[in-house]
Amino acid sequence: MPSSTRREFLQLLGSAGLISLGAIPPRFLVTAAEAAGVAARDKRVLVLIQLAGGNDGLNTLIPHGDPAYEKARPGIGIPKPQVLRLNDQVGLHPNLTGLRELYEEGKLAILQGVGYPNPDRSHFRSMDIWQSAQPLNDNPRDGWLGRASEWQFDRQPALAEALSLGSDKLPLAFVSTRVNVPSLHRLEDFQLVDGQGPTANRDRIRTTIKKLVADPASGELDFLRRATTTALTSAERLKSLSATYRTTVNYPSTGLASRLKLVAQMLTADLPARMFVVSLDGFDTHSQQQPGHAALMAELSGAIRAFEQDLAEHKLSDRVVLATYSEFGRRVAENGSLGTDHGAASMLFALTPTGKGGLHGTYPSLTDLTDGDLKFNIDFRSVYATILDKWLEIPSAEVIGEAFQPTGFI
Amino acid sequence: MPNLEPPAGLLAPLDFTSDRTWTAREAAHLLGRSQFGYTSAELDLAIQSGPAETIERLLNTQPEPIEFQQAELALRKTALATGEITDLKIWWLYRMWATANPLAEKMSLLWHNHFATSFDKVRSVAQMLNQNALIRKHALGHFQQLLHGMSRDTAMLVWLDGNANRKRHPNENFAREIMELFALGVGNYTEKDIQEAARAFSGWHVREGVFWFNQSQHDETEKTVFGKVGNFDGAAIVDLCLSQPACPRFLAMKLLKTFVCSEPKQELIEAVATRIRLHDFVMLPVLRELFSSQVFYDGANRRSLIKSPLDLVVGSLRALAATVKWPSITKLLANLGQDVFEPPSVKGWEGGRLWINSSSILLRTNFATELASTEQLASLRGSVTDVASETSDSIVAGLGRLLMGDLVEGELHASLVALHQLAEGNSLQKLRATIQLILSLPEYQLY
Amino acid sequence: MSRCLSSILFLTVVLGLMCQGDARAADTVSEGSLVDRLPTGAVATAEVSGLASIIERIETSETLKGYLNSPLYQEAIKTDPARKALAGKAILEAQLGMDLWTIAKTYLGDRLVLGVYPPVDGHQPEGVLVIRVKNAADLSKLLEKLTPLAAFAGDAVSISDRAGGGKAFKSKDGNQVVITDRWIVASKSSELLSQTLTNLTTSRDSGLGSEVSWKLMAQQLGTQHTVQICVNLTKVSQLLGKRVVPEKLDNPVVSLLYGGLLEYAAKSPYLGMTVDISDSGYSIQSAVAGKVSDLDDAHRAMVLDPAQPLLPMTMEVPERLGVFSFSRNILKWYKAREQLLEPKLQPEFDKFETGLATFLPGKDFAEDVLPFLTGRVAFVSAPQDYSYLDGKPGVQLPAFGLVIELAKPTEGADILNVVAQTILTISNLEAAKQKRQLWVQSSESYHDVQVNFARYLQRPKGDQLATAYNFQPASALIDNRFILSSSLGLCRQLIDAQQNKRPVESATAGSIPNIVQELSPVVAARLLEANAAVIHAKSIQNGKTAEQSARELEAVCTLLRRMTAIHFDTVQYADHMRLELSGGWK
Repeated sequence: MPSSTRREFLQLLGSAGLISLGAIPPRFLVTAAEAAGVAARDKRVLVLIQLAGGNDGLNTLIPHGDPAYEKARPGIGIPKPQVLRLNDQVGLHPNLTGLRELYEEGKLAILQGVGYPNPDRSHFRSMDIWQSAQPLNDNPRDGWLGRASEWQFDRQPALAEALSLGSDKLPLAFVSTRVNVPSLHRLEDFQLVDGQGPTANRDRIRTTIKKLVADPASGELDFLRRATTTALTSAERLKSLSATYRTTVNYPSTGLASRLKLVAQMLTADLPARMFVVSLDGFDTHSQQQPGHAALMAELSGAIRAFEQDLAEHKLSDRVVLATYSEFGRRVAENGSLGTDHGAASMLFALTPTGKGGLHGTYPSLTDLTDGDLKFNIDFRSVYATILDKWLEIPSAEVIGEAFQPTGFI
Repeated sequence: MPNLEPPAGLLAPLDFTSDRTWTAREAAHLLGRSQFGYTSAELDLAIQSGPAETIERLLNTQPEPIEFQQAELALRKTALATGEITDLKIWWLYRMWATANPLAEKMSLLWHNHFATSFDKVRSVAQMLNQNALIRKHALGHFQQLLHGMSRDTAMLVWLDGNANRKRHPNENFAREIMELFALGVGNYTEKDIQEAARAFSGWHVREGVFWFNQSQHDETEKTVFGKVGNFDGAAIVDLCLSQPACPRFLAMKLLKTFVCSEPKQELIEAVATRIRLHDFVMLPVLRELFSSQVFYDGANRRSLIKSPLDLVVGSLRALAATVKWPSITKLLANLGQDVFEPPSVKGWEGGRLWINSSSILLRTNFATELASTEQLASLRGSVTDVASETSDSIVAGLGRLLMGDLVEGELHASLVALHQLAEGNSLQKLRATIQLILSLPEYQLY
Repeated sequence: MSRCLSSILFLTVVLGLMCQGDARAADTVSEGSLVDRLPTGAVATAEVSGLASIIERIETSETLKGYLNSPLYQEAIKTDPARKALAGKAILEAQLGMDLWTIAKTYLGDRLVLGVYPPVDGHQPEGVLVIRVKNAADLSKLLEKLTPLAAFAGDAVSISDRAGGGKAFKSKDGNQVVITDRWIVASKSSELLSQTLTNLTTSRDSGLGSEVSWKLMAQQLGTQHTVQICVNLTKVSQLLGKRVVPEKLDNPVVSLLYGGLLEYAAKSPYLGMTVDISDSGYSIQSAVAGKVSDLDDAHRAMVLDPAQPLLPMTMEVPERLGVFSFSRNILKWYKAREQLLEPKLQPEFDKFETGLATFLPGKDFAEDVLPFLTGRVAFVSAPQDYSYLDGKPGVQLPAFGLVIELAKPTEGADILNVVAQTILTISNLEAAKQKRQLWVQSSESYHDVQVNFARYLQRPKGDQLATAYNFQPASALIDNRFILSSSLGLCRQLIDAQQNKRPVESATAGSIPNIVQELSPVVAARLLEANAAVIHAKSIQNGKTAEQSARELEAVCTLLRRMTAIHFDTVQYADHMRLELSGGWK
């Protein structure tokens, strides 16, 4: 435990009147300290950003070097001079300035041509496939992160916690037939409410609970006491830190930025969760794509850039992998109403602390198409396998049900 | 029904006259497991009338008071009228809370979890309600009839893609679940059995909102299931499943996990399975034997189960609340992970320790705070608040009896008495603080 | 629904209280506005007169008695703030030797005015309160009681005799009150206080009443109102350093409906509001000064030409729940949208036009669609008749009818029919998903008018049918008016209304209706009662018993049934425009 954290923690205990409980260290103190210790050292975190609606990969990572691009996109193509060039072949959407900085710093991996065989162009179906990682299952019961949580729960429950932020319905990725993943909207959702009645009573109740749960027990009661200790400690840390949480980073005032800020606050407060999913909607750009898509690009880039700076400021960068995904890319050719229709393979971004940034995979050909769509060269399950095996240290073959070769971004 | 010998061995009835006395603890244990919480009046009655009479009262239909009937009807009709599943959820929660027949609701929930079907795909309040009516009708009755009914239930057929099951393109969804989740459990069938059974269910469709046997899409050829060969239809498959020895074992497991202990031993499962078979899959006599048995009252099985969100929330409300604001409660239950009519998948809720994570602990603690100290969720019963003038000792004893099955002792008892004595404010505020502490305790999450 | 219900309940109770009780004639003889007693330079004033008779009405009303005896009140007075308030009331009543009702009538019952002045040095705004009491004797009695009380307060309040008679009270934090003759004057500012006191005795020609804003308001709205509020918009604009209404609005609907009124407000010297309450009803009017001829061309799209007003259609149908009717130069408004609306809204119009192109390929909205309309649009609502069902939906919604007048009836109707058919198709796709009955296109001849309507494939049966069964879309073209309705019955009624058109669409002398809105509380009550089961269930969901809920609904419906139609109109006058809200009791 870093000394500042310990000091803060002891203050917390002191204020709760627990520090003077005698010579034997109370259970509360030990478990909480354990929890905090484990968190700081070992807890690797995954943050997924779901780009709902099907992001137009072609206008996100632009193959400006390919004349076929201009031909396919006469109305909505990004003009060459505006593209943020990464090399002679590809470049980023002009609003992805933050992401380009991260790319140049070696922190951003860009995976090209990600998809799966026999792509489905229905939002629901393809979203199900991405989230369940089971393209052949028509009725997936659970998601890949849900199954990952189950695996973890059976071994180290303290590391199995996950959180969905800002969506009304739990994303399928998190659905488990066994583990229950909570969905939060605001920081307050992870806090104790004060209720009514005299403040002194509330304080006394909390103190009494903490005192009582500190005693070891057996069986289910012991389990519940440990879980209560962790939860109450987390909530208090979050509360005291949300009062003191400072960042010099100027988060843009967008929905995604505020959700990522929430993640950063939770990581700073050392909440037990280590898998987060946040969603950014509006990518189903069938008509008049340009202005809307440009705004989404700006929101995505600004939010990730600020998040990364915040993590760095709080010395958390080493613990976090962030990845985007979307149910599909869009058609290569634009449609008649200055938009694009549902497509297949696309690209995704990953923020990686392992120095493995840069371009991965190859850009799919714009002329060798399947039904007008790009062909994939990285199976999305390889991306999952990378995250599971190399980052979360959960065996991917067990979660996905099939072994996939990890890609090199971690 | 032939008169059976009472069970022996693990399920042998507990002799309350010699082996153990019938106290508030035993009564609270029985009511706690067979209802969603209990009022102090219910507990008093149970103590007074003794085990046998209490068990019979639980098992047999009691008349519902007129206010319940009015409210139940209004809530049900409105759910149908608005087509909003939230209204139907409130209807059911209201039933669990106010009914004079709580065991029927508890068993209905068990079957809802067993045949977990979600409105999320069914999209029809009427069909969800019909399925619920089917469940309630057979809640304590014949499992065979329930299983046969389920195989023709429209919500179930929509949920598991009945209409997609066609002669030339069999859909295995229902056939798989009837074996894996509804009757037998994993390991008691082969993939081949599922494929063959799926063909037997082909043509079992929904048309104009009712079950329809679509002859032209039914596969009339021979099937081989569990080693038996014949031109089976769906009903024959249901019967074949029921005849498998795994079936009563599977049900025994469910009953034991719900009512007795989280990890029942193999021999106990076998014992209950035997009784299920002997009682021809009728649940009522099996439950009677279970609730009378030594194993049910065994010390190791007391306060050994983690309360589901419904047991916690509706149970607390039954004990404490005079009126309830149901929309908030419905939202809370969904956040806690038990959203009736919208289970996460066909596997339902596994429950136990899986109900617990940091977020749900905070929600459970916040529920305690809001229920005890505010009027945001409910108002407290007069029978609970009218004790304000008593001593700290007697108030803690009364609450301990009502909320903790009379098992408040030692340090816990001392802490509660101390809290009540030291709490600020008027007598009601002191009482509310004490209730809040009890509801926030890990001990209270057990039953 | 319950929140909406409780708002209606609250409004009706408040206004109902004011209009009930003995119909005693107001015994106050008004002596004109007190505004001219106030010093000049105010930002706003609020004046109240004749409160005595209104307080009397409330005090003696049956509704109040009912409320005081109800469990609702008994619950309310158990709360802490209520207990404190009741204790304060008891002390006050004991000190002054009269009950609170009499206190209010005696000291507030004649006339009072509050003036608000701009803040000095960026502090809080200053204010002056002037109260005139009917009998000077009552005030001297008050002084007798107050003087010993103030002594009790120690050095917190100091009392001095005034040179011109009466007493001056000054509190430690600077509040000053002067009681003299028939007057109570209070202010924190010594300057405002002394100016006001001077105005009480000397000539009042230099008072606030001489300023342009108040003069104009008095001239346009009169001064004999129960409550009269005046805001000096010129001054507000100076203080803000910008127009009180932005040049470009950020809401297209507000712009189309109220853009004219708001432009008047931007240039008007005043914003006035009056409230009048009589024994049989109430009227709340807001006004801003201006003339149509002062508006630029774009803003004239939202007002009627006084020379040739194209008046809003009234479309009288029996059992009408409500109507919303207006007349605009929609084409002019649409073309001037870049001038009238904020730039950030412009892309939305582009999206709309692109979207429309998928419905009507090759058509331009401004060039090929809008010219078909005259600009008169009416939205009518009435109970649905359910003649097309064997049963009723569980939730009964009112039927709606949209009447659009067409400059080119044939071409316009074609376009609107395409829209109607598309909606029908989309609805059928949705219905299939929701497992509901599908619609089939049908038609009939009603009084020689062809009516197209949607018929259910099979007549839906049941008493708790889905909410969607509230709709049976129908459309017709009669004369130059196109009717699009959610009910065949209402569509027929609208045809009747058009055929028996009485000369109602005409202006009364001096005023031109700009927007006509009306709501019938009686019909609303009937709808609420038709939905009683659902309303009761919602109450039960929130912890009430069926019986409690029935009582509450009955109370709301009784009140609604006693009300006459509520009007909320926008009306143009020669030199100003008003928003007029009025209603009454039977």
